[in-house]
Formats: sequence, structure tokens, C-alpha cells
Amino acid sequence: MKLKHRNRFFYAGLIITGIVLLLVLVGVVYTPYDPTAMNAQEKLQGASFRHLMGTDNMGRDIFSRVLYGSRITLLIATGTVALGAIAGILIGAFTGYYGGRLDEVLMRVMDALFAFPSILLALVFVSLFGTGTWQVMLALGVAFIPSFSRIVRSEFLRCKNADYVKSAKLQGASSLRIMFWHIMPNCKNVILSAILIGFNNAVLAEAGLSFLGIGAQPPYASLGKMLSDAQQYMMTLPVYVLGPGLMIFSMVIGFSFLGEGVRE
Amino acid sequence: MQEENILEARNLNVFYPGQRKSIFQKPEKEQALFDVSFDMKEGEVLGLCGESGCGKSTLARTIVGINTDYTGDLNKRFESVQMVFQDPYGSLNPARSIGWILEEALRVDPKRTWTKEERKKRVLTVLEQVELPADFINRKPSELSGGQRQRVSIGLALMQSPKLLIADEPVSALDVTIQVQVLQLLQNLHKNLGLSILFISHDLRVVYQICDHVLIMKEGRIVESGIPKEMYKRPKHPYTEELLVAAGIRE
Repeated sequence: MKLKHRNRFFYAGLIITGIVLLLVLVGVVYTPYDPTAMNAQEKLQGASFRHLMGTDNMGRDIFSRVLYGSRITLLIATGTVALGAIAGILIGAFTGYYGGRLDEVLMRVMDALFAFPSILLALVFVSLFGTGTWQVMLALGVAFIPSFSRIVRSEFLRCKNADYVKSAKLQGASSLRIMFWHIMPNCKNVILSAILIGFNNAVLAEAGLSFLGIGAQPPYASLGKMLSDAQQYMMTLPVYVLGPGLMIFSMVIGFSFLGEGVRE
Repeated sequence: MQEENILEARNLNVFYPGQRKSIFQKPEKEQALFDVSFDMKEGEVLGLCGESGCGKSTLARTIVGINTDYTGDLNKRFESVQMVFQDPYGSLNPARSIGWILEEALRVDPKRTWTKEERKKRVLTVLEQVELPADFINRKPSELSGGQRQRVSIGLALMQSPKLLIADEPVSALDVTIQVQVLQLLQNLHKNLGLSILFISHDLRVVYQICDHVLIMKEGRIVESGIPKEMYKRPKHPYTEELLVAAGIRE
């Protein structure tokens, strides 16, 4: 990949994602207010210089909570994608490379998992292990495995009969070496693009789950949880919804532009 | 030159799996080669000729061990057999540099372990043997022309110093002028390294140019074998005659 091949999408994505990440990083060391500190006198205020995005129904500063919530959302999305990508890449590599029964069986399992709604899967996890960040990460991660494994499998199917693979076999390279040192580098663009798109879906899925009340628990909040809290004040105090909504929007659009840019 | 056989095939029957009809059924076998027998002497260039689909590549793949489903005897005097593939665009890993590709052959060499310095030295030696400049190690295959790639492929096959090289239509995908250069390179390697080459081609003229012996194959069988000079004058099998006419060698 060279710089000149990257296009407008890539740069736009880079800028948006850069700003989001910068805000989140700043939020780690500094937030204007304590994101969990309540203040009954200043509840449900609109945007002002004191409170950039206003305050919520408990008088907490929304901007501080958005910074804090973004961090949790990003954390969950990262964990989800990491779990889905690592397991998916392994499964895809082995099924694609070896084929045969292993492929048939594992891919049918993946189909079944793919058909299973991720929200339902998350509910099952939560009822088994209780609510919380880790449970959501695990549930979404498992739900993300099939899409990664399919993409990687099809790439391996494409590459495994190439002459350079045969030649490596003749030289004496082991199957594992061929899979991860010879074929994998040829899949890196596709995998990178899948990771960015997966990131997106993870942000949205996390927001969806938190909206339903599964995920980060009060007084802490992820972006989805804040949206769901803000829902009843949408008409009286639109800025309450705007803060977390804008953040989710920026994350998703940033990552999709990046993904689009990488794919080309 | 020693008159010892480097390769002997006796009554080779080679099969490949057909389409699997269901996951619970074994795929049906189809036979690709029938009763193939031949000898190859050490230090010779043996031509293998025939139309596409006649089983030339199947034979090559059986000799190097990619196809393992066969009956009959196959005696290789040396285990080290390497292969040059037809398509110079598929035989080099597009994601890696030329240096990495060549060095990898030494990293995975089952016969011995190479130190880093030895590997670097060997890569440069082989690049010189295939007449490419040393700075090619930093290039990607996509930056090379077809002829240059085929030189790298030949170099890759030479990395582990094989005694027998199988060249599966090594020049068919190249321009005519480049063909001549690559053929010349193969001839030089044959002379300088004492390499035995099994040269697969559908072009009888190319075979005439560089081969000591030639086998003519049709539909999975060897129909005629001999020294090209004699065979081209007095073909015994009508199919050989047909090929010679098609190549414009006989009227």
C-alpha cells in the first residue's frame, strides 16, 4: 500500500477517526467535570460555555459523559473485533486451506451462528453470566466470528492453489508456515477492511445493546446507554440526544470511510 | 557424463479425484496417466511433449510429489527435485519481496539449517546465476517483467541446489524474444551446474533446440520416445508426425 493509492475516503476517514480518538484520549486524562458527579441545581440545561453539550436529568455534564462513554464503547468495540477477528481468521484459514470435512462441519456451524441474531445471543450470555462490559464484549465477539471466517476462508480458497504455494510446499515449508507466512500477507488488505467495517458494526451493536439496558451499568455509561436515557427528553432537550448521537455517528462514519479507502 | 539414471518410471498410473457428489460419498477417481514408463539419465535434458491436457503437467506433479495417488514405480535417485512453473505471474508470492521469496527456500530447507549470512550469500549467488542484478532483492514481483519473473522462478527452484529440475512450460507464457533468453539461461545452467532438466513443452521446435531426448505424450500415454534429430526425420507414430506438421517442421 502506497500513499498515492489512498483516496479521498481514506483521508476523510483518517481525519474523523483521528478527532474521535483524540477526544477519547483527552477524556482519559481530563474531563471538564466528573462524569458521574450529580448536581441537582444544574439538571437538564441546554448547551452553554459551562456545559458544552448541556447536562442530563441528574445534572451530570453530558460532554464529560460522552468522552467517558466513548472510551467504554471503543473498548467494547475493540474487544469484540479482536475476539471476532482472531477466532474468525483462525477458523477461516484452517477451513479454507484444508477443506474437506473440517470445512463442511465448521462452516455449517458458522452458518448457524450467523443466522442467530446477535441481540438474542447477547441476551443469552447476559442471562447466564450477568450484565456488564465483559459479557457484552464476549457475546458480540462470538457473533462476529462468522463474518470474519467467511472472508478469510474465501481468500485462502483463492490462494491455496496458486503456484507460489505449491512451490513453497516443494521447498519443504510446513502447512502452518504456508498458511500464515505465505498466504496471510496476501489477505491483509481484505482483513484490514473487514476489521474496520467490523469495528463499525461493533459500535452500532454495542449502542443497540446498551439502549436495551444490557451492557455498561449506571452510574457509568456507554454511548448507547446515554442515548436510551436521553430518549424521554428528546423533545424538551434535543441537545441531550445530540451529544452521544453525534459521537456514535462520527465513529461509524470515520471507520466506514477508512474501510472504504483501504478496500480500494 | 555418467550414464546413470536419475529418474526411472515404470508402469505409472496416476489418478486424480473427480467431483464429490455428496459429503458422505468418496469422490470418484479419474485416471490421468496410463502405464507411463521412461528413464532419464543424469545430466540430460529430457523433453516431454504433447498437446494441452495430455497429462504432461500431471506427470510433472507426480514426479515432484504433489500428486500422490499413483500405482507403479517411481525411482528418484535424489530427493531434491524442484519445479519451475508455467505462469510467471502465479509462481511468485505477490505480497513478498524477491529477496524474501528466495531466502524463504533456505529457511525451510529440510536438508540443513542456514545462518543468516549464508542465506544472504546464497541469494546473491543464485541471482547472479540467473543473470539478475543484486538489487532485485528489494523489488516486489509486480515490479518485474514476465521474463525477469521467470528468471526469479528459476532462481527460486535452484536455491536448494536440486539435482533435477522440472520445467513445466517455462517459456510458453513469454514473448518470443524473451523465450530465447530464458532457454539460453536454462542451457547455461544445465552446462555449468550439471543440472538434469525435464523440459515440458508443447512446442517441438523449442524441444529440438535444447533436449537430448524427447518423449511424446498423447491422452495419458507415451507414444514415442527418442533423440529429437532422428525422430523429427522419421517419426514412427502418426501423432508425432501430426505434431511435427503442426509445428511447421515437416510438410
